Parts: sequence; C-alpha cells; structure tokens
Amino acid sequence: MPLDLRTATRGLVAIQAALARRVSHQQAITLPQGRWQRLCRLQIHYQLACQRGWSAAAAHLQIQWQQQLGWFETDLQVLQRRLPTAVVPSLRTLYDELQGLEQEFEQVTLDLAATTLTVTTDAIVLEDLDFGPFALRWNWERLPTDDALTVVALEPLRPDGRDDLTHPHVLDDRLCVGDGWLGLEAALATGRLSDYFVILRQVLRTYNFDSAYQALTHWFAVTCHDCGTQVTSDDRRSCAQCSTDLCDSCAADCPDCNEPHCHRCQRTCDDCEAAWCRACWPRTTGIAPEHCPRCVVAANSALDLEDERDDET
Amino acid sequence: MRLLFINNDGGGFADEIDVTDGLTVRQLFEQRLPQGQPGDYLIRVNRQPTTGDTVLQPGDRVTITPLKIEGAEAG
Repeated sequence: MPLDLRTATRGLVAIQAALARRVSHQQAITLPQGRWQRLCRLQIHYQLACQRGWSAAAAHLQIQWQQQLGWFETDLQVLQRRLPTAVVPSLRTLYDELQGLEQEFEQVTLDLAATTLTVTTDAIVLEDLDFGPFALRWNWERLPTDDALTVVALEPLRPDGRDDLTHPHVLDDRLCVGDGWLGLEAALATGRLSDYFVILRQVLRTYNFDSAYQALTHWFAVTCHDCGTQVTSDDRRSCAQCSTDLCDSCAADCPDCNEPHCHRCQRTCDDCEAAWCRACWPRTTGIAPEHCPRCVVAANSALDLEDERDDET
Repeated sequence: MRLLFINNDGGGFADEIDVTDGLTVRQLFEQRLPQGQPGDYLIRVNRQPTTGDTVLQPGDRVTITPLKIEGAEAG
C-alpha cells in the first residue's frame, strides 16, 4: 500500500533535516586516527613476535595487519569522497526517491515516532537456503552513528546454536556491507535513498564465502565439544550424560550401555583402553579401580581359577 | 544531451555526462562499462526498470547497480 502523502511529507522533511545535519557533521574532518593507531600497535606486536621467533603469532598478526590496512585505505577513500559530494537533497528529490523505493520493494513504511524508514525485501535465497525476507530499518536520527541501519530477518533461518546470526553477513541484526560500503556512502551523501536500499538488498543477495560469519556449508553444523571441529546436523552425536554435541570420532560408545559419551563423561580402562561411561564404571569392584568392569571380572575369574588350582594341589 | 549517470559498482560515482541524441540504454552501458555484461547489473532509468532498447531522453537519470555485491565480516 502506498504511503499517504501527509505521512510521506512529514517523514521526508525529517529525513532532509537529518541528512542536512549529516552534511554539516561531515564538514568537520575526522581523520581515521583510531585505525592508524591500531596499525601501529599491530606493527610493534608483529616485530616483537618476529624477534622472539613466534612464527605462528607473527603470521596471525600479519593477517590482522593486512586486514586493518585494507580498512584504513577504505577509511581514506570514504573521507576523500565525503567532503566534495555531500549535498542536502531537495524535498522533491527525496519524494522521487521514496516513489522509487515503492517501485523496487513490496513494502515501504515510514514510522515518524520511531524515526525509521523501513523497506522489506523479498525472500533472500543463497545456494538453495531460504533466509526469508528481511526488514531494512533505517533510523535517520541515528545517521551520525554507526547504528542507523538494522537488518532484521522476518522469518529467520538461524544456524544451530547461534541466535545472533540470520545471514552469512548479518550478525546481531547488523549487515557487514563489505564491498557495498563506498556505494552506500555515496548514495547517502546525495540523498539517493533508492540506491542505498537497492545496494543493501544486493549485498544480502550475495554470498561471499571468503568472509562470511558462518559458511553456508556449516549453516546447520555444530561444534564438537571435545575437538572443536564442525559437524553437520546429520552427523552430530550427543553425549548421553551431559548432552554436549560431539563428532563421530570423539563420541565414544560405552561397551556396556552402548551410548555415546564425551571425554569428560567417560573413563578409559588402563588395561583394555576401552572408554566406559561413568554411569557404568562404578560397578567395578574395589580390587582394581583403574580397570573397567570387564577387565576386573576377567581378573577375578583368573584369580578364582588360580585358587582352585592351588586347592587341588 | 546531458544525463545523470550513476555507477553503484565500487565507489558509487554520480556524473553528469554528455551523450549523443538517440542513445539507447544498451549503447550507454557498452560505452560506460565495456568489460561488463548487462545481465550482471540492475539498470534503472529514472528509478524505473528499463530495457536495452529504451532511447534515453535529456535529463534522464541512469543507475547501474551490480547484482552481486560482496558483504563481509565486521572489520
């Protein structure tokens, strides 16, 4: 349903004012000093790791340093682009943008009380996984901050055990826009709201397996409590005692009850090395507490046999 | 004639450009993104979906947005 003119006008006036504040805020140049200081700290740590021969730490720090360097480069590009291009769009332009949004998206809503413009995408499908529609909620009063945008899954398809993930690039309702950042900045700088939301939708429609919070192949995977490897839901096993998730290699089936158990809930026999669950183990007699019930029974039988032979002689 | 050309691929540049009269959307795409495939982009004229044969008019706003824009983890 199209927005009524009264709501649209009031909303657009508020949006225009917020964009104007953003432009004036950007006139005050803020250099990316925090990023630079992080780079300097990482460089010192890297040199220290190299001097002490900590090769694994050095390699890890080098990767971090390269990532931060890339972000620093992007910070500078954004800074360079912001100043000359930022303009306050006219109400007419914003009205056209709103109409463009209504053409592009099924649902567009303006909430004057919450100061939000929300568009709803169609279902986002990545490699046959249907993540459902997303609400892109843009709070124009929060423009000077980093949390103006929230990306809310309306029919969330979360990985097992992760309430914070709704998409490979959405964590805690925040979309990490990656390559879309510069385009989004440029769109906001000139009030191109339709481009802004279209870019966001295209980011949601794209799966970048190189830097996803969780790979799609592991979307329904769980982490083995004992060894930390990722296991798909179909291959997952659970400890019969404490219910933790386990991979097949770590889930030791107790020879008595035949139930899988994690390392913490099992006990290994010193003699036969069989892994027994702690519930079945206490049946051991007090003769050899480090041996499993079967080995104890076998040992007792051997002793009885020896006693019988002694009696016979 | 002059029109506004916005390329959301990368930096999101918006440029006022001079083009010849009678230029179609397809021809403009070939001029501005010679290495690109039209099927890899959303092309809008005045915020509306369009076809390659559409003849551009003075003052038109042409927007090109890649279908695939890679997100990331927070940096």
